[in-house]
Amino acid sequence: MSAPSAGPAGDDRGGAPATPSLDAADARALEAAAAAQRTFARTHLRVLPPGLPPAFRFDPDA
Amino acid sequence: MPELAGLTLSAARDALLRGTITAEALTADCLNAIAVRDGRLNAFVAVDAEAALAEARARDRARAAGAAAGPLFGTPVAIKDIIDVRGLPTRCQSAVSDDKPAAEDAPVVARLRAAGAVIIGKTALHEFATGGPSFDLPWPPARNPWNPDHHPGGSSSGSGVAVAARMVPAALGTDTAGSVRHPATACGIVGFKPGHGTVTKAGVFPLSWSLDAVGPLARTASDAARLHAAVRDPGTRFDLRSALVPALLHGCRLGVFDGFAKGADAETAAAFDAVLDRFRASGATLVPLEVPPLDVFAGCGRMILQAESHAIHRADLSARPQDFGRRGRQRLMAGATIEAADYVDAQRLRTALTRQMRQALADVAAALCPSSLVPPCRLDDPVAIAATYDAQARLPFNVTGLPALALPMGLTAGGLPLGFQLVGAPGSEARLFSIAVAWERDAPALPPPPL
Repeated sequence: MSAPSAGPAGDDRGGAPATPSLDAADARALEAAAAAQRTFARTHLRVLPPGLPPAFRFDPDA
Repeated sequence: MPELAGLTLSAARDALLRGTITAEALTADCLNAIAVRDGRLNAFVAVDAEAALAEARARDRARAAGAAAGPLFGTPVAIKDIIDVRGLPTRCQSAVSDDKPAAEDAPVVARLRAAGAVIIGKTALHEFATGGPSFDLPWPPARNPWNPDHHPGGSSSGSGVAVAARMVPAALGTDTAGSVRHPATACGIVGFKPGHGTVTKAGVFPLSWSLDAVGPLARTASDAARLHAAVRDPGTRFDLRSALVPALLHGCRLGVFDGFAKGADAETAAAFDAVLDRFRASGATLVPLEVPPLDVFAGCGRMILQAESHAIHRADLSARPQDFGRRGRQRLMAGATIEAADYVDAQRLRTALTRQMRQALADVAAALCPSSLVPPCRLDDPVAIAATYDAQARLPFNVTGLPALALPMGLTAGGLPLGFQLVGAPGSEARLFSIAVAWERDAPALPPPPL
């Protein structure tokens, strides 16, 4: 699966074919995201005081 | 060349009310501007010319028959293609979506029509409002009118391009992590993310239920204020008349999020310093504000966004991943690895950040910080594209639910727009616009992009 690329302005109407399924690049991206999440959770989330409530904001009309 | 399409919303409205132009002529000129300019800018994914002209004629007929002109009487508005417009499919720039036309307008669109606006078409975005500009989707990405080889910002890319390129006077976008303010900044126009709970998201395909907001893009703060006034929820506090009156800057106490400007490139930093100098010269008192570092807001917002967006799309990500573009798929997959307790903790951190931000803003009329920390990058530079979504100071105001207004602050040496933000406490929307109107009165306006 080749990476999507940008051509010069004016020649990109229509789009390229959809890519096939997950590949190594997707797996690397997922692992990078997971590593960032683990680091952030360790340094900023799992140290929060228990009395702090979550800030859920759900719009009942949405 | 189109001329009426270059009018601001306020100027067009004045001309319409004086009767020097008609809604039909204005709409026809906007359609002409789209036909002339959009072939290389890709701002629109759908234009319903016949319906727009019919709607414009109906406005003219009603006016001629003595009906009161609404606050947006006869002014064409474009809608990000993630918001329902009756009779048109909501494709969200994705092959995953279907082409069934929306049966009803989203309430924000219905409110625009009720105010007299003419809905002219649907604008391009990033796939499901995430990922980035992509060339593997059914529609091409929008291009920056200041230089079509550069990123127009996103995800409300087409809305920003359509307004900046004088195809329409105003547009609606959505802003989950800066997606109205980013294209506004990259395209040299005004973009507004209202405070949480002030504009309904019904009829808007969600990216993150707890971070999404619907906001206007326009060429002036006054125009954005008029659009916000039209779409805001009934009962929310917003006095349009006071929003349109220039604030007295002399003696006005404005905070500065110094920490959010760290990491800005030299041209952005210099332009932001010039903004601060201009406010000082106008008599404002600038005070530094202490809040947690930008990366804490970013990490918190990112985790919430990833978890919620993955919940929305996980069935399709599992069943038909190949139908997503690569950038959108990778962004939407990222939430798969978040533990439930970490998501809840991110919402708990959000509580703490919101309290600290509100406390910091308690003693100032508003606060200032850059919008993007770098100028618009090239569309063919995947490394720069990936980096640009972290090089911004917009996400803190989605995390904290505060109103934030992006305004232009000049051009780079290479002719690309830069921008800053005015942000405020809950309920300060009108005050932000009033300060922005005063700023626009005194600051040099950007020229039109080279169309």
